[in-house]
Amino acid sequence: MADDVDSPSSSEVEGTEDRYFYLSDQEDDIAENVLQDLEDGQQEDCSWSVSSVITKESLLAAQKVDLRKVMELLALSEHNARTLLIHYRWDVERVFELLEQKGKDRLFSEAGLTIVENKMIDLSSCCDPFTCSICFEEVSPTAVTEMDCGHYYCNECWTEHFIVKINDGQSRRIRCMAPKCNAICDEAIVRSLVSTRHPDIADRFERFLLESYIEDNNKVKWCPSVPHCGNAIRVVGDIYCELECICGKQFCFSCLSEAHSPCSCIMWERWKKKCHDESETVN
Amino acid sequence: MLDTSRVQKELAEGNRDTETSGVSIALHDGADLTHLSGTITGPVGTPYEGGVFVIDIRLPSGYPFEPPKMQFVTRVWHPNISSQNGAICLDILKDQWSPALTLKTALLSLQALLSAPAPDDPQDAVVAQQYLRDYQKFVGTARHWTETFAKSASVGMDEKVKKLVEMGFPEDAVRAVLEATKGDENMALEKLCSG
Ligand SMILES: [Zn+2]
Ligand SMILES: [Zn+2]
Ligand SMILES: [Zn+2]
Ligand SMILES: [Zn+2]
Repeated sequence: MADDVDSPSSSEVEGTEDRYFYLSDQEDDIAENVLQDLEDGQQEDCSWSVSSVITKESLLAAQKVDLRKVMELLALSEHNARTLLIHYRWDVERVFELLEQKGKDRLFSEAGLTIVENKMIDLSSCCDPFTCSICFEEVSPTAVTEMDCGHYYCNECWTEHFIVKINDGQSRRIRCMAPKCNAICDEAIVRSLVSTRHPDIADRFERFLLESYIEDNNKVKWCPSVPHCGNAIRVVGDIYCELECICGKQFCFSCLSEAHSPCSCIMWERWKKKCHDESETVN
Repeated sequence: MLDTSRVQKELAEGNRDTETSGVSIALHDGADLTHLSGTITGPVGTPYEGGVFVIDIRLPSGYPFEPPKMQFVTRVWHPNISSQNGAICLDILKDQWSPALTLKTALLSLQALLSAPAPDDPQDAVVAQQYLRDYQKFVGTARHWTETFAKSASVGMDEKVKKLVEMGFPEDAVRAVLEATKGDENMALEKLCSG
C-alpha cells in the first residue's frame, strides 16, 4: 500500500489527470493581471499556478473588478453584467471567448439576459389606473415597475415575489414573474423595493450576491479553515495546487483537504479512507 | 399571508365559462379559502373522455407567489399522475410556476396533460412503462378507470354514501340505490324512504 502513496516521480504522474508539474506558457501574463486586479490581496506563488487571498474586505472589490471589465466591454448595467457572470461562473475570459464565438445575442439569451430596446408601454405617461395581473388590484401607474424584459406588475407583487425567492435562497437569479419569461430581475429594483419594506431581507440579498462570487466561481474557493477565517483564495493557472491562506491554513486547492503532495487527490482520499477503515477494525 | 382578495376574484372569474372551458373551482367546505376543489372534464378523443376529474387544491400562505398544491382525488390512469395517491408531476406546479398563472390556468394545464402525457418524466413508473410498451393496453386501462371512477354516477360516490349512511340507512342498500339512480342523491333518498 505504501508504494501507492510514496512520492511518485514526475514522469509517472505525467499524462494522468493529476497535472502537478504543469507549467503554463502564459503564466507570467496571468500573474501580472492578478497583481493588478488584487492589489490588496496577498500573493502566494506556487511553482505552477498563482493564488491570491481575498479577504472579507476585498471580496467586494475583487467582484467589482470583474464586473467592471464586462460592463465596459459590453456596455452593460451592473445588474446585467452580474447576471452574465453568474451564468458563466465568473469566468471573464470565457465570456469574452464566447462573445467572439457566439455573438452578443446568444451570449445574452443563454444567460437569461433580455434587453428590450423599445419598452412596450410608457407607464409614466398613461394616467389611468392600471390593473395588476397578479393581485388583480387597481393601482396607480406610479406604483408599477417594469423589468428590462418589458413585463410590469405592481410594486407590492414584485416585493412579495422577491422576498419569497430570497427566503428560498434563489437570490442570484430571481426570474421575472411572467410565465415562461427567463429574464433575471434587475438587482437595483430588487434592492430598492425590498429594502423599503424589509431591510433585513435586503441585507441577505446583498450577502448572497457577494457570496456568489465565490460559490459560483471555479477559480475561487473559501479557505477551509475551521473556524472559518473569512477569506477566500483565488487561483490563476492550474487549480491542482497547494497553498497557504494568510490565516496559516495550508491546503490543497483542488480537494480542500490538508496539503498532500506529491500524492494525488484521489490517492490521498483513498489513503485517508484506508486509514479510517483500519482504525475502525482495530477498535 | 394568503392574498384572500385574489383568491375570491379567481373563484368568481374561474367559473365564468365553465361550460366551454370544462374546468370549475369551488371552496372545499364553504369557509376555508386555503382549501379548494377543482374539476376538469376529460378531453375529447382521449381515454379520459366523458369523465369528470376532481382535484384537491391547497393554497400555501405564499400563494400566488408559491404554487398551489394540487392532487387528483378521482383515480386516474396516466403516466404523470400517481395511480396510488393522485400526486401530479407537472412543471408549472413546481419550479415553472409563475404568480401570473391562476388556478384556472393550472387546471387547464392539467386538462392538457390528460391529452398529452409525458411518459419520459413519469410520476407513476408502472403506468409509464405500460404506456411505452403496450399502448393499446394502456388505453384500455385508462378508459376502464375513467368509466369506473370518473363518470358522473361515481363522482363523489363515497361522500354521497357516507351522507346517506349517516342518515341511518344501511350501506349496502345505499350503494345499490345510488347505483340504480346513477348517483342522484335525491332520487336515491326518495327510493330509500319509500322502500
Ligand atoms: Zn399586484
Ligand atoms: Zn419578463
Ligand atoms: Zn484562511
Ligand atoms: Zn487534493
